[in-house]
This record gives sequence, structure tokens and C-alpha cells, in this order.
Amino acid sequence: MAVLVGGQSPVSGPLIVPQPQQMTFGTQTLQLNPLKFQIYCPSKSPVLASAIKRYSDLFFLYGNGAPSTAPAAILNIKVISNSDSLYLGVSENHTISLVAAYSLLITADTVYGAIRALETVSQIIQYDFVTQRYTIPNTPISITDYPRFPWRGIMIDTARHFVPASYLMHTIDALAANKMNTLHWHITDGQSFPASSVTYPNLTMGAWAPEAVFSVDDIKEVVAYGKSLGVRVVPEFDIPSHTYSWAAAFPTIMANCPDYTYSYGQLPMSIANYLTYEVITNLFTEMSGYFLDTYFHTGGDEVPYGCWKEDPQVAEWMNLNGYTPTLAEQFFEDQVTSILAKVNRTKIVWNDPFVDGVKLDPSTLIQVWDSSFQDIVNAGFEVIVSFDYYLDEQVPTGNLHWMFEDTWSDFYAADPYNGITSNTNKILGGEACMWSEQVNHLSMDVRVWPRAIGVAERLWSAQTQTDVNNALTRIGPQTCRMSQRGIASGPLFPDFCMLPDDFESYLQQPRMRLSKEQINTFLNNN
Amino acid sequence: MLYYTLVFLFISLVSCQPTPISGPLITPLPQTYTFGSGVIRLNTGFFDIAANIESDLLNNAILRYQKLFFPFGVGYPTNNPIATLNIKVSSDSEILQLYVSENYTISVEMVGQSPQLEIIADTIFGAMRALETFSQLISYDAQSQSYSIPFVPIYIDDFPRFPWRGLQIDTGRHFIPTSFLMHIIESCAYSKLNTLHWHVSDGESFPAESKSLPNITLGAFGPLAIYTIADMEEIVAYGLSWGVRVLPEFDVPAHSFSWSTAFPGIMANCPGDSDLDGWPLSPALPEAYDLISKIYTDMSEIFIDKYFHSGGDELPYACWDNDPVIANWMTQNNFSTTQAEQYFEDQITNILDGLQKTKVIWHDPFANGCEVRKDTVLQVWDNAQMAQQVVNAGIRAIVSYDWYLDMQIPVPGHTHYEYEDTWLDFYAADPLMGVTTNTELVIGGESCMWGEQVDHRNFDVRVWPRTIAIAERLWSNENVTDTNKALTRFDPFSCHISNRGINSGPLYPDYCLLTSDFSQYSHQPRFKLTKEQIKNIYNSQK
Repeated sequence: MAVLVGGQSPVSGPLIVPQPQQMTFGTQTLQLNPLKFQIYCPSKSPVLASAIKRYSDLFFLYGNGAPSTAPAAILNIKVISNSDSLYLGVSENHTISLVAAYSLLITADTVYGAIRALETVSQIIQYDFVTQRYTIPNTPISITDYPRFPWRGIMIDTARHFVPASYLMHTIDALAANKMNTLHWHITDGQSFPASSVTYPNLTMGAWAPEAVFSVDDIKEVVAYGKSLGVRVVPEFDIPSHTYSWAAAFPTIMANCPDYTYSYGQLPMSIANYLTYEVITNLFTEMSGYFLDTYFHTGGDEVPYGCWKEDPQVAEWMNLNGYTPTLAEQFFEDQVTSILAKVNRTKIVWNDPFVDGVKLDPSTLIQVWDSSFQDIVNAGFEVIVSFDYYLDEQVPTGNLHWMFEDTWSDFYAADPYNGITSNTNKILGGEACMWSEQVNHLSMDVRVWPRAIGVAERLWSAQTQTDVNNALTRIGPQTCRMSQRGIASGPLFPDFCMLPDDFESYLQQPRMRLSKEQINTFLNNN
Repeated sequence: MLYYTLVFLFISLVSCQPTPISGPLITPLPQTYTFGSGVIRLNTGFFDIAANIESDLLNNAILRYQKLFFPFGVGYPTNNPIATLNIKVSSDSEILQLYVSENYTISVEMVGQSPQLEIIADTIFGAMRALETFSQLISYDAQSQSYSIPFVPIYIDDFPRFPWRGLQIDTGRHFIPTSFLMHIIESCAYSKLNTLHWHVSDGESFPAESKSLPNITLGAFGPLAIYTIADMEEIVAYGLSWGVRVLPEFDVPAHSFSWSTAFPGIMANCPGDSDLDGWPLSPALPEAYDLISKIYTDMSEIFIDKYFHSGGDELPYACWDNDPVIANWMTQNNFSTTQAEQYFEDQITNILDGLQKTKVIWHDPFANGCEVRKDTVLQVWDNAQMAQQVVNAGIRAIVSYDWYLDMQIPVPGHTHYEYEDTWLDFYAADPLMGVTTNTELVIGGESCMWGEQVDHRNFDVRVWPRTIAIAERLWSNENVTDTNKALTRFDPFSCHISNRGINSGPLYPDYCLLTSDFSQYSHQPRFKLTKEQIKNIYNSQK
């Protein structure tokens, strides 16, 4: 009745997830005394200061432990640039050198490289429950690390089910623990519109309930929280389809196609209505003030052409302009590109318009969820891949396993380069997608983790890092560590994970809230 | 064409859509019920529950449900009239055992200006099931902050289809804290499951403390991964307090490597013929039987249910065949490997007879050709054909083959776009599907949550809401099979138990209003028993 998960091959040395690009280690063990441990960093970066405070806690999750005679230790952090600007491609490179108590060093180009290094160090420090002591085994350790892809994300859908802002910050914690750097926030869909807008306060009439909304302050806090961990928060307001929730406030911007209402979640806007563009313009302009990142996702997926043809007004408009539905879609996408250009945002869309034959602006970033991948990069577009990283699916890549959680290994095997023979340089990275028809904040951690660790390592580590047993040996401690911090990430093979008494207080909650002042600072210094 | 493919792939249409149902949404669906269109408004300050008998267990349940009826606090003050839920129970026996009556009726009506609320049950356990149903009749309106019972008058006549309705958990592959096991028991009771099958030990660990053999827990994952005797008693008593039998499984002869940490001599010696997980004991050593006898004797005192699961699954014959000592012993006794297994199983039966326990095992020894005594209960994990053979042999069966919660594809050949939709497969898997004769010997089933990839961190989400489908399949009428109607009830039920701290997610897009305190209970039991109560509960079963 039980099939054992493939045996874990013992890996010696530090067990780090994602596996660093280069690492050497020795056989010494360094004792640590939490009371005599300091992090020294001359950088004036408020973001890095916040991260240092956080990791001072995460290094020593079990308190001070038993009295220790270990010598004082100082972790020096040297960062070349003091800029807190977070953007796609910001350097996350770092080196770590752990030799002796007086010689612990992190170097990085940017504060975000230093934050990744702090996560690595937190994975190196070990706690022994019997002796109640902290150590750094395997010294001297020398690590040189950098990501394979600059875009490493998770997509969360807050429209099919609302999840609180606090849970989004909790998810950002989980991303950072795996060196993922992008939270793609699919905010709205046909089922609900939970984002508050000052310009259009009535839009949240399309939310599930009056309390199931993100206030402007919530949105800002999530964006700032992301920044505090080097996680870009990229919004998606999905148009022209998947917009039925907008209709609670603006009924006339929907296309009128009774034959398609059976799938209300997917109904599209009317592209022939001036108000449609006005609402989009004003909303996107406002939201660009909250979402700092220069990328802005406008969905664009699954336009039911039949609906536009059925709507007499849209049909007439297409006729007058001599538009096929594809040309109409083209017109719409062009308008959206212009709207975003005015607020200095680069558009991201799902691959659908491309597949439909729309000529997209060359600056567009395309998120690929089907098999059109090679054509898209050949056409010169930059892409992020998701087609093999759908966390909601029973059979994500066609592979069958006895146990469901073993689908992690499918994600792990799904290299973005698989099946791509040319223009691989156009691949910026990928995203694991947690569509939430059947997920809310009560179940999301468990549905996402530990499986998405497979995606995180695939996107960070070297392409040659593919040994499943080696990965399992490291994912075991990683999923336990995440749990110890309050992320409900289960195991992949029989073992024992000791949880601290307080892990429950962080379930569904962020580990460390930011102050109002920090939020303002982080949002203003990009 | 391409376009339609995309639609199918992307929006992940849930294959079912909830059907609007008027009337109370109760899960599992009661056997019969009628309802009207009236509303009884409730005043939390003036709501009483009164019972016609004195029973500590029932009183305890009443205290619990007084809280669970009103999860969002006292609400906005109202001047609605006083309401009393009267519970009439025929028997004041507190003995919980297989086949105990869980029948009940509920009547909710207005007589003149006053609400008449009544539960009638044969036993206190029927009354507990009724209290759960009643809690699902109460509706909370967030806007007015008030509670009411809509659709009155309501008359319910309910009873379970099968007497054995279980959830199997595995603490051999991962340790799960005592508090979380009690949390699991609550989730069972909420969905009217009445059996927690606790697969305590396996090849990987032996977490149960033994009075006579304290070293046995050297086979635990660690000193902090152990159930003390007091822990186990608390779990058993907690189960009893919810009407949930706790059935222990100490798996022998295979899946027993963890026993050998303390007693290295008892394992079969067959390097290469088994992995650590499935490694068997030696049947040729008297010490092995002596050890089992001592452990089972200790455990029988703690686990007071009449049934005791001894595993018996997946014996790797090659391991016994290739151990020279065992091979020699089999030759001397003129045993085939099957006869050796038979001999082993007979010894276990004798041990359990001496402890007045009825043996439960997986169907493997039967399938291997061992004679199985007629009073045994066989848990079938293979398929319906096997279940048919078991009942045709005159042996009672509980079925689990289509209810493996750990599997990616739980029912062969059935796949869905979204993983959670495997609930549909569980729902469709009727225990009598493919069993056409001697059906009365199918006494129920169990949903199995094997623990290789599960512990308390992710348990709820792996088990719920999918097991709701199994709970309904085992309780409700065989003809309750409409999946769209089930969805309409299952999501509110999932929300209902989420509010009590069970991390049960949704099955389709919707919104679940959560209480401010639900997360306090997300790894904890809602209620606890005092030491005194635990002792009294044990005494009540004698």
C-alpha cells in the first residue's frame, strides 16, 4: 500500500536550496553563540537593514539555546551599490565565505544579492535539538552564486478566491526562502474584483464581499513587503476577457453575448465602447502608482471571438472598421500598449494574442502557457514560461506517479530550454501558476509547497543540476525549514521535522510586518 | 479548433458547477428530510440545550455544540424569544462500539410564537450526530450579525448507511503530534465519520510508548517523536467523546523494521529482498511472537475498542524464502511460504483472542491463500473483485481501494484537469460497486492518508475537502450521487469546518467568511479533556 519515494542519496556538505552555482566546503564545525553573534553592514540601505533584522531572527529560530562558550562571531556584509532600486535583472549575485568566527563574509553587487546570501546562510546554520546549540558545519565554506534566470516567480489568483493581504506577504516570505523574486498577482478575473480604486471606488462592488477587498494601503504594503525581500510584485488586471466582475460597477463595458454567459468567468469586454478604454486607462494609471515594477500584466487570454461577433454593437463596429475578430483584438491590444506606455509600463500578456495572430508590440513580454513557445521566441519576443508549472493540475506534465506530491519532480525536470532549439536567450525565466478555482489561503501553502521548490531550483540553479535524489536530500531540510518559519510545506519522504513552538503563529501570516514608515520609504526610493 | 483547446486548458473549468438548491445544506445528506419556508431567528443569549438523560459524554458534547452553533460570537443583541433544543435519548449507555446506533431525528418548527426544537436518538452517539446536523441548519448573516434557522419547519430522519466509516492515518512514516490527532478526530466527527484507523507504526518508526518494553520507542524518529501512554489515552478518550472509535494498527509481520531498533534479533535476514519500509519479522523466532504479544497486550489496555488491526500487508515472500533460518524452519515444519504466513497469522489471532480483540487485517493474507477466520474484518485495498471474494468467503470487508488520498490518480483511468476534482472519483466509488452478492458483509470503508508525504503540516489540505465525498458516500443513501448537488453542499460544509480550524479548501470559486479566531485551531483541537474526564471516559467503557 505504500510505495517508497525514490531513495534519497546522501549528500555531504551544506544542504542548500536552490543549489548554489559554485560551492566548496571543509570538515570543520564552527560553534555559534546567538548572544554573541553580530551582523555588520556599512550599507545605509533601509531595505537591507530590514532584511538583516529579519535574518537575525531566522538564523536562530529556537531562541538562544543552551549557554555556549563559543566565541563572538561577526558576519560582515559588503555591498557595492547602495541603491535600493528593485527591477527585473537587478544583480542578485553574491559570494559567501564562512571560515571562522572572525571571518564570516558576504559580498554582493546589490542589497538584493546580499538578501539572497542571507537566506543561504540561514540554511547553513544548524540547530541541534539535543545539545540546543547552533553551529556552522562543513567550514570553511565558499560560495559563489547567481541566478540562471532573472524572472523566477509564482502566480497567485485572488479573484477565484480572495486571500487576505497578510497571506500574500506570507507567500512573499516563502518565495524569498527559495530565492524566487517575482510575485505575479492575478488580482481580478470574471469572478471577483477585489482591488480598491480611488478613481473608481465602485469597482469593488464586484468583490466577493465588502470585506473581501484589498485597500490601497493593502496593495502598497504588499508591494513594499515584496521589495523588502527583493520580490517584485507584478500586477495582472486581466482584459479584455475574464472581466465580468468589472460589470458590477460598469455594466455597459461588457460585450453583450447571451450565448456565452454560461461561462461568465471568461466573458469579454466590449471593444467598441469608448467607456471601456476610459476605465482601463484611468484604472491602470492609478494602479501604476501603487505597483512600482515597470512590468504590468494585462492578461489578454482566452478571448471568445464568438461573443464579439454575437454582440450587435461590437459586430457593427468591426464591420465599419473592416476588422476581423483578430484585427479587433489587435486594435484592443494596441490601445492597451499605448495606455501602459503613457505610464512607463511594459506590457505582459499571455501567449493568446500571439497565437491568435495579433501583431504585438516588440516590447511585449509574453507568458507562455501552451506549446507556442518556439514560435514566440523566434518572432523575437521575450518570454517567461509556465506551461509545465501549473500547480492546480492533477497531471501537470503528462507524467504519472503513485503519489501526488511527486509531481514536484515533473516541475523539476521541466527545464525552460526543453524543446527549444533557438533563441533561448529570449527566455527570461518562468512562473509556477497557482490558479485558485480550488484554492484559498487555507489550502494554498500545501498546494504550492514543497512542489514549487522544484520550480525555484530549476530557475535559479545550473541547467546541469537535475539529479532528483540529490535534490530530495536538500528539499527535505528545506521544506522543514519553511515549516519552521510557518509555511505549511509538507514532506516528500519519511522523515522527522521538529517544529518550534511558535510556528503556528506564522501560519498564513507574514513573518515580520513592516512599519508605515518602512512602507513609505521602500515605495519612495525606487 | 486551436481556440477551443486553449479554452479547455486554461480556464480550468471545474467539471461540475454547483446547482442552486433550496433548503438546508447538510453534509452528509440525511436519509430523509423535509423543510418549509419559515425562519426562526435565534437569540444567542437565550438559547438552551437540554437533555432527558444524565450522561457526562452527552453533556460534554452539548457544551461543545453550544459554542459551535454560534461561531461568530454572540452577534447583535436581539429580542427573539427563548429557544430550547430538547434532546431525548432512549439509552443512557455510553459504550461506543461498532454497530452502535447513530440514528436520530430532528424537528425544528414554530408552535404559535415559540420555537420547538427537538432531537430524538437511540443513543448519545446518535444525539452527537444530530447536534452536528443541527449546527449546519443554523445560518449566520454577517450584515445583521444575527443567527437564524431558515427553511422551517424542518424534519429530519437520519441514519448511516454503513456502520464503519473511517479515516486511516499513518504515524509510522511521519510523526504527528497528539494535539493534531485530536484535531483530526474533530474533522472526522464533523463529517460523521466514526472511526479513526491509526496506523501507528511502520518500517520507518515506532512512536508508541510501551509499559512493558520501554525500549521499543528507540525505533521512533527521535525522543520528541513519541506518543506516551497518556497521549494515547487522551486520543482514545477524545475519540470517544466525539463518538469516534480509535482503531490501532501495529503492522506485522512486514512493515516492522522499526521494532528492530530495540530488538535487532527479530527481523528476517534477507538483505536485498526488501526495502526498509516493508522489511518483515522472522516467523521462525519465538522471541518475535513474545514481543508482539507484549506490545499488543500493552496496547490493548490503551485502545479499548474491540477491534485491533495487525496489518498483515505486503509480506515479501522472497525475504522469508531467502533467510536460511526461516527456510530451514519452513522445511522442518513442512510449510510453504503461504503456510508460514498462515502460521504467523494464526499466532496473531491467538494473541488477540487472549486479549478479547477481534482482528482486522489488510486483505493480503486472504489473497495469498491463508485461511482467515470468519470473525476477522478484512480491509480491502486492491479492488472490488477482491472485496467480492472476501464477502463470498463469509468474511466482513471494509473497502479502501478507491480512497487512497495520497495517490495522484486514485481511481485508475480517471484523471481531471484539477487535482482536487479527484473528490469526484471518491464520490463515485460506491462500496458496493462491483460487489453483487453477500453485500451485507461490506460493513463500510476507510479513506486512507498514507504518511510518506504527509504530516500535520499539510494533513488537513491533503485530506479535506476531498474526504467529504467519502464521508457522504458512507453515510448517505446509495442513490445520492448527483455531483452538482453535492458541490452545492460540500463547499459550504468545507467553509463550515474551516471556521472550526480545519484547513479545508474550496472546490469552486466562492467566498468563505471566516471567524476571527479560526486560525487558533488550525493545528489544535477545539476542545480538550481534563485528566479526570479521560479517566471517567475509560471507566464508562467497562
